[in-house]
Amino acid sequence: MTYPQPSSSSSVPAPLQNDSQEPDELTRFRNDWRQAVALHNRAEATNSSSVLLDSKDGAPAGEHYTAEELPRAQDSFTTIVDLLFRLHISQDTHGLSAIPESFISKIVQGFPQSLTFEREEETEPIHITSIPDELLVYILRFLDHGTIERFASISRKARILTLDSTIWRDFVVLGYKPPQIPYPEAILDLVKTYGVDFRRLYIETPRVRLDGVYIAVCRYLRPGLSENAWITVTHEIIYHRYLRFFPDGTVVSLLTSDQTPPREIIPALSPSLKMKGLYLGFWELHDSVVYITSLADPTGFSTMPYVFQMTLQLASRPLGRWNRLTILAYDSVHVESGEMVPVSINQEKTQFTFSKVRSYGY
Amino acid sequence: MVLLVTSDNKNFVVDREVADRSVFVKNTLEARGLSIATPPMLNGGCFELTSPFLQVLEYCQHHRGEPLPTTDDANADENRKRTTDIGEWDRKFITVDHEMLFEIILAANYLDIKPLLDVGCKTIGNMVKGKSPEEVRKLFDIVNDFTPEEEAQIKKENEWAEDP
Repeated sequence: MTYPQPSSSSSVPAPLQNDSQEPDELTRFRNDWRQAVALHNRAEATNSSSVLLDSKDGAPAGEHYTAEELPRAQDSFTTIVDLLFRLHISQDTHGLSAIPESFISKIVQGFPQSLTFEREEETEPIHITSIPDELLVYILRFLDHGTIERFASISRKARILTLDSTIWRDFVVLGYKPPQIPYPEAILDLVKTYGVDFRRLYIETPRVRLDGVYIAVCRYLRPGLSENAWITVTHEIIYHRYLRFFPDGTVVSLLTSDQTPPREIIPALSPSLKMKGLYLGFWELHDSVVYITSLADPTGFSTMPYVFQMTLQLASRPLGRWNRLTILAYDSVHVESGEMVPVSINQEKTQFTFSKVRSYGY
Repeated sequence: MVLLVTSDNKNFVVDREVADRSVFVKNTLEARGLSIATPPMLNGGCFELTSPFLQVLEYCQHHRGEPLPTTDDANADENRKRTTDIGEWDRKFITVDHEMLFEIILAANYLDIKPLLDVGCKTIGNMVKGKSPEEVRKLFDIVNDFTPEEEAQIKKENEWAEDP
């Protein structure tokens, strides 16, 4: 089995955060790491010649792409994760990358050792069973986590395939970089905690959802004018506050009245949308708290005396993950003096619910 | 020109530029310094190569001369999650029945034509997207072999991924 070949595998690993409490573990970890690099370099040298031999011999149906080989690791960040991945790897009974110890491992322990997709009826000679596992994993790696977990519920074989660490490593590598974590190396601590269990890491570590929009529906009642003294007219005013986060650290905030329905707003919600009530700012996630700063109207960015900042708690609803945001603080900041004044906001109107938006392309 | 012979002994004469779309053929030609290659048996010859091979050749003809993807494409990871990104010609090309789709994927994998492999894999991915487990079982003719207890446990374990 080969693992991703980082382009800079021979270079010195990025400096780790100095952890004074565990100097021994750190030293051991670094040594392991260097050994893994050395081993890997040797393996790489032998691999390249055997590949050439294979193609000369015309060996039968080799998987030219094993699932792990395809996307070569790029930056040192990916390299670090891959190295950790290799250190933690162990063989499991199903021949895929290790299945971690957790609730799910208890479920799959009961499965038979060799699993195939069982067919209802043999109608076509070529079937999904003709596709080798490595390619099935490769297909799964194109999909979003919702589709993968739904695919996992079709059969035992599918559940085993979808536990392959490489699938979840992709999500971790793509998902946890600043501003989702404070600095790139923070991923090391997460990987050290969870080991090879990238799926568990991905499920349990807070991340701001980028594959949709957070929406707060705000309602209030306004007394209306009545021509008849016996009737009291009250208008219910509904407005929406939208927050869409982008991977580059920008965030779009939009406050609308009920004049424009959400289905018209949501697909167009981006920094380039020209609309009254649209503000642009920057976001960062620390543990499970989102900090939004420098929130301002992009059209009057340089002339505005005030900008806004918002602190929100990221949490999960009973179903789904990281799909609830609650405003903890909302302040206006005077640009020149830095003076902060809380913006009055009704406590009931501070809760955002996440909606996935397919057209955002995740 | 290159002569390619399939496992069921059909001969195809194609331009070198077309044959080179397959990294496997390209490497074999370069390694032997010859202009003749014989793509060998697929999976011990359990199916014939000719029908998917015609499709694969059509793909290679269309994409001849395009730069081959390099393994150190910096955006490889970034682009992975964009399943729906299939070019228009490729999408029409890959609109085939399941059997042919699986054969093309196996052939592309064997012949090392990564762009074609990706088109095939993304197409399967798109079929699965938005479908319930029962619909996916129907789609690929797969039996649900979970015990009722297992099914309940798996459902609970997967709840985190739901978007209500």
